Amino acid sequence: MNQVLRILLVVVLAVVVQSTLLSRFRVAGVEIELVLLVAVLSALRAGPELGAIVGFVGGLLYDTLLETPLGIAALSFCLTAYAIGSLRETFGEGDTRLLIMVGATGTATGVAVFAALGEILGQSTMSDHPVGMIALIAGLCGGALAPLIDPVVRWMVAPTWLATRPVSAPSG
Amino acid sequence: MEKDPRRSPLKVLSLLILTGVILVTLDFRGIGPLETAQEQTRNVLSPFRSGANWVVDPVADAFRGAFNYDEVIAENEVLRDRVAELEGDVFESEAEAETLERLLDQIDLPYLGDIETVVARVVQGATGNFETHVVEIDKGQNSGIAENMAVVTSAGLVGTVIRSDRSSSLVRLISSPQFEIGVRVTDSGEPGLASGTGNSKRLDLRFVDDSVTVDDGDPVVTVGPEGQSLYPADIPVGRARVLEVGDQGQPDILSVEPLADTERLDFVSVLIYVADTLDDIDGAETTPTTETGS
Repeated sequence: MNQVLRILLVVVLAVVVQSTLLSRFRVAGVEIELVLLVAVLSALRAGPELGAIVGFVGGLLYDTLLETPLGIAALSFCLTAYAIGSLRETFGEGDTRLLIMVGATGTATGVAVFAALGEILGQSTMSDHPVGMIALIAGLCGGALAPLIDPVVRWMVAPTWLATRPVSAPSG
Repeated sequence: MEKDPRRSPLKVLSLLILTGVILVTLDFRGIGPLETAQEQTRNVLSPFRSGANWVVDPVADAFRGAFNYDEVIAENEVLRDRVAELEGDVFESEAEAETLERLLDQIDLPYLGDIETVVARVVQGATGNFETHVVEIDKGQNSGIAENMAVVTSAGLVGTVIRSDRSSSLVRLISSPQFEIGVRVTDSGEPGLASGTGNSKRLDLRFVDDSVTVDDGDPVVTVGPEGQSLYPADIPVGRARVLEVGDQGQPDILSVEPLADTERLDFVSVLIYVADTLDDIDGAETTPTTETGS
């Protein structure tokens, strides 16, 4: 399957699962940020560029379901994923502990960025909500889920067979 | 996704940020095509979300039963008694009795008169971590629901429709700090403005004439078109509470205790009524603010 299709499939699935299942089964009143986690792990596995694109597309789809202005989730997920992707060289591929740490830190950061952007745009996301607590719980959940989501993200960002196929030398 | 050698990650990020900023700006300006695109996207996602909710529903009920068991038991006791009174019989299935009771509540809403209503089920609460006091219902434009329609239960007003898609709608509850509505304290007949506080048990009541005495417990209802409201008149909202009696010329500090419990909503009724513009309202000269719904 083409990489673009795989990304669309996973992102749509993440948005649907987050806006239904995870929206109802909250942890201490906090919704698990699956779309953001997918973007963060994409950046970890495929670099800042693809991570930013996945974050933007996922965030934009998720934005359509929110009451906040269109683009806030897209911008915050995209910026967070880019930052995580930029630090990838420092992290290396890493092990499960690193995966959990990046999942937790990235998710918590993304939530904080979303809240800050929302507040700047007059949405009272920081003044009316305990942002620190939400980011902490969302981060812990993101870290816990990261090892489970990682295989899906790896499949999603894997280069297509056609794109990676070695070019045969011209004959003659 | 093939890598273009001329493309750098920073350029891609800049492009995405620019796109995002443009989208935020257009959204703030309420550009029509953008809203239509959002609505279409939600409509495309809707069947998938409905399917997911269909799967999640029984699990959610079991989850709720397991973690709020005492509450469910107590609620069932009360509901069993009430259904027995209504039907002269006790239903064997508690779940069946509970559902029927809530549906019956929505069929007979004596305070509405001839206003057409659509009964809808509350599917879920708000999506996201920064949206509270919002619920999603399972009826939308296909059932005639549109923005700014009032949402009620048998107890009274619970909120207003803030977004309507093909088969679902989003309702802002009266407890939301963004909710405001024109009301009337029935004993004095004095109009005022009730607004959400974030607390489901209390609305602020302001702009009531200082010279009028409001007593604790006075019924509060919607003011209706006469008070330049988009909602019909006389929908019960709650009971007035005098939090602090003003002295030396200071006005009383008033609040409203809502009659409807917005924390436990299963079925609601949407009133198929909205004043298109305030031109329809006698004596009004200004256009309404759809944000507040008042």
